[in-house]
Amino acid sequence: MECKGIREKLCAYLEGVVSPEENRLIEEHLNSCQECGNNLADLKKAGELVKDLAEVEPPAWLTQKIMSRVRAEEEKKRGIFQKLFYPLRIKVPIEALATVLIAVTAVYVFRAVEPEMKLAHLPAPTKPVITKEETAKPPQEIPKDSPSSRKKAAFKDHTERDSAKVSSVPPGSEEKPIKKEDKSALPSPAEKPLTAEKKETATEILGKGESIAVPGAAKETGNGKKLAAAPMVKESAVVKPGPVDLTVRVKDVRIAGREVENFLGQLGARKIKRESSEEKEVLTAELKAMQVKEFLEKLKAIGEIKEKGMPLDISEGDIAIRVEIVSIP
Amino acid sequence: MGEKNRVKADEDYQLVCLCQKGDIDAFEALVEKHQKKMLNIAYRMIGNYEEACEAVQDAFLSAYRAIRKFRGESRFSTWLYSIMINLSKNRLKKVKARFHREGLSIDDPGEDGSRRFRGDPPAHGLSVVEQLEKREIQTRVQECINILGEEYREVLVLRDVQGFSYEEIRAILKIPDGTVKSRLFRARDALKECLKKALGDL
Repeated sequence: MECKGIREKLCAYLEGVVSPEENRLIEEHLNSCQECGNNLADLKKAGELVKDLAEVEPPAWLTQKIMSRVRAEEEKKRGIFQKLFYPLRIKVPIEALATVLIAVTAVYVFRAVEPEMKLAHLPAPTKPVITKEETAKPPQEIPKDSPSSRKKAAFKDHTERDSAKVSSVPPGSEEKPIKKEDKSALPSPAEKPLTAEKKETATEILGKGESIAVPGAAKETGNGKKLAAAPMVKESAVVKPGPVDLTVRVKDVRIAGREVENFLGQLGARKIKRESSEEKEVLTAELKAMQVKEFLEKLKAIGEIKEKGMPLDISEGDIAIRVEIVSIP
Repeated sequence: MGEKNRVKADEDYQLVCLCQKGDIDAFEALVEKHQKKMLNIAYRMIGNYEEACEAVQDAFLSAYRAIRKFRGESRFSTWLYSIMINLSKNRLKKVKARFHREGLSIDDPGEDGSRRFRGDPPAHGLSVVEQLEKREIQTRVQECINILGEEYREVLVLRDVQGFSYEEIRAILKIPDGTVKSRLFRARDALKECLKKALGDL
């Protein structure tokens, strides 16, 4: 009974982890009990045998084996990674090439389709686009027309000469360069053998311009500059509603100019241009036809209006408006 | 406080940090350094050299997989040996199951033991007879360890074979100090009885 209790404590005793009281009891018992003494000796011996167990050496290949497995695992991980990103090496050049190819194709297709697109745009123009083109064209067209008309004069065709006269009448300031052009154009042999066809088309254009220009010019505003502007407006009139040319007489030209500009802005006019000179202000703009009336009323509030080329019956599209503000003499 | 110092004193800390940054060579250094201890733990736990080698490979591989999770709460070696003990126990179960299937018992000492257990390397400075005798004794000791239940086996291997401190064992096995001691004493007692039977006179 006592021996069993002691045996259970012998290990702890060997380790020296028993209380001093227990230690004393065990040692007393060991002195008297042979069996327990043997037991302790066996325990010591067993402990020694276990401690004596030789260490085994790892095989030489162990590290390599472990590392090859680790690297294989790393490869596998990278394999998944590579599946996602490795193709980048090939992908990037391919993508770059594809992008270039698409860009080139796009340009090519655009070029191929471009004439068709122009055709598609022409019949269905938004009106502002036309006015834009029209107002931009006249300065170029006039010199074109004029030389041809001069050539006609050189051919001494009576009917054509008449139209040439008309065309050469309006642009006072522009006549000089035109004449210069004519002079240089006349002696050139290439110009001389102009076909009758060309002449005819030229007269046609002139004729159109003439028919509208005449009423404008006939009104006799007596202002050179206004005349010069007249053909510009005339040209646009060929296709779209007639222009509005207004003269407003006011006390203070500057204030009135600013006011008119504000009116135009309020009414949503586009392409508002304001030119100031000493005794007058000239404003040009494009205004919605339906707003012309309102605009006129506002102008009336400022001063005395003279108007011409007034297509008040038009309710659609934009109308080119030119307002000249002069002071009351 | 003492724990902190110990973690700081962990000589593997630098290498572990490199490993966590993906340095495989640093891991190789750790393998080189710890493989012997790992193998000896595994060998004494499993009692079979080849199986122990396999277990060591598995342990290092799982350590590599988990090294980013190692936060330095304990020393790296403690963490590593803990993995080793767990994988050794797993492999032990597999080995036992295999022996059971084949109608053999790994816990049955004596019978065909020399074939099943690779002998311990000869100790130098002893005569051939002495070497053989020592080898025989060591084989018997290992066989007796193999009889122990794994919870006794692990404390005995760590304490008496590998000489870890109680504190280290507690950290590796994550069991309280009292449990370590009681298991250890029971393991020793059982081992003593086994050896007495196996070797006759101790």
